[in-house]
Amino acid sequence: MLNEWLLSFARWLDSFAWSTEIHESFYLYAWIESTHVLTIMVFLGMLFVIDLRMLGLAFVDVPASKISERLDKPMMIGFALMVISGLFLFFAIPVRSTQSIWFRIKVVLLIAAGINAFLFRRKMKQAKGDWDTDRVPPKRMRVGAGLSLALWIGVIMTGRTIAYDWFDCHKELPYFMYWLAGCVDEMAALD
Amino acid sequence: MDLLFIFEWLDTSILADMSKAYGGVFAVVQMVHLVALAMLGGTVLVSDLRLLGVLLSDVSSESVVNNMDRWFSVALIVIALSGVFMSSAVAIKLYYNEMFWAKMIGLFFGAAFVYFIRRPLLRHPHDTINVWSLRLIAISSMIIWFTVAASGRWIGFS
Amino acid sequence: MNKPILEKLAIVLSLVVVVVAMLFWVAQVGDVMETLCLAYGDWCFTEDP
Repeated sequence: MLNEWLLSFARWLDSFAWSTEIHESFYLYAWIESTHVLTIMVFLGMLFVIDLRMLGLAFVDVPASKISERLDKPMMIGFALMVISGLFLFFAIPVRSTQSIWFRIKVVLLIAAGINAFLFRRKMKQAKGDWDTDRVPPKRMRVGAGLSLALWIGVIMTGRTIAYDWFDCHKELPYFMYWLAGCVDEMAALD
Repeated sequence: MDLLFIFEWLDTSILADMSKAYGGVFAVVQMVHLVALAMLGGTVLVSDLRLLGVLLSDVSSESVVNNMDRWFSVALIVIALSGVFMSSAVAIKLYYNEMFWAKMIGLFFGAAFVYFIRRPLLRHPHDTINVWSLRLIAISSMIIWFTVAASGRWIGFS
Repeated sequence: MNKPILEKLAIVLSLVVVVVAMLFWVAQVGDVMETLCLAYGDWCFTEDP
């Protein structure tokens, strides 16, 4: 049922003239996509430096909360750009994106990374006066940082594999793959 | 100096065989390239924004730059190695691609600038260094690494 | 190399980078403008071949 709803939503987006215009434009899609990829350097760049501090691998003489707080603004600027450009990319090719197993995994990883980030920020508030100036933060923070790195690397990887058609709906796939990817028409044909 | 022979050699090397045989291998290496690119971007931005006095201004400039230098080098090495691997997959096509050469010129100039001018200069106490040197180093650094990255993406579009 | 020479080199080469990068980016935008011109030609001049 969710698959049907998602596909209807995607087809509705696809019906807008602008969706096709962006997709078929010679330069516009390329520039939006380039922005999305390059902003990785800003958003994830800042995040990686914060995670390096949390793993005790950089800035060990600087309070962890200082690194986290100061790098937050440029990081969130980068994040905003990624979200905006990402939404445009989705809007340009909504049906294929919705039915891409890699895009779906990417969304799940994004949600997981978001939850991890929320929990991290909450723990950071308790850092001052506690482990803030320790060269190597406590294990739970290191695990959080490691998880953060793994999740965001997963987001990059799945983002890149969206472009490959290995598991696209038009391929011959097992039924459960059609279900995972939301290939509604193909599932109906097999039923 | 004609470098075609290097690309012809790459095209028939074992690296090329590996990446042509398994499409997944090329994809994984490209992802490594992207992750290292993110790391490079972070180290460049933190360092350069500190030199401009915009970020972490209450942490000593020397400390920020020293902390980021090592990770910049790690990122650059990973980018270079993954880049060579990816290049071998499409070596001859790249040789004739203008955007590829624009990227390589930027990359080599950027790296040379970092290792032969920026690092030796920044080893001196920063408050004794001409403030315009510091600002211009920071600005040109951010420009060059973002431009190299952008031209890298545009290779795919050309 | 001593500090004063490094400082001067840093300034000169940085300015070179800034200028070259500006030309590079303007050329990219120029490409876009030319293509838009060819595609939606009403509002700009195109050179006849």
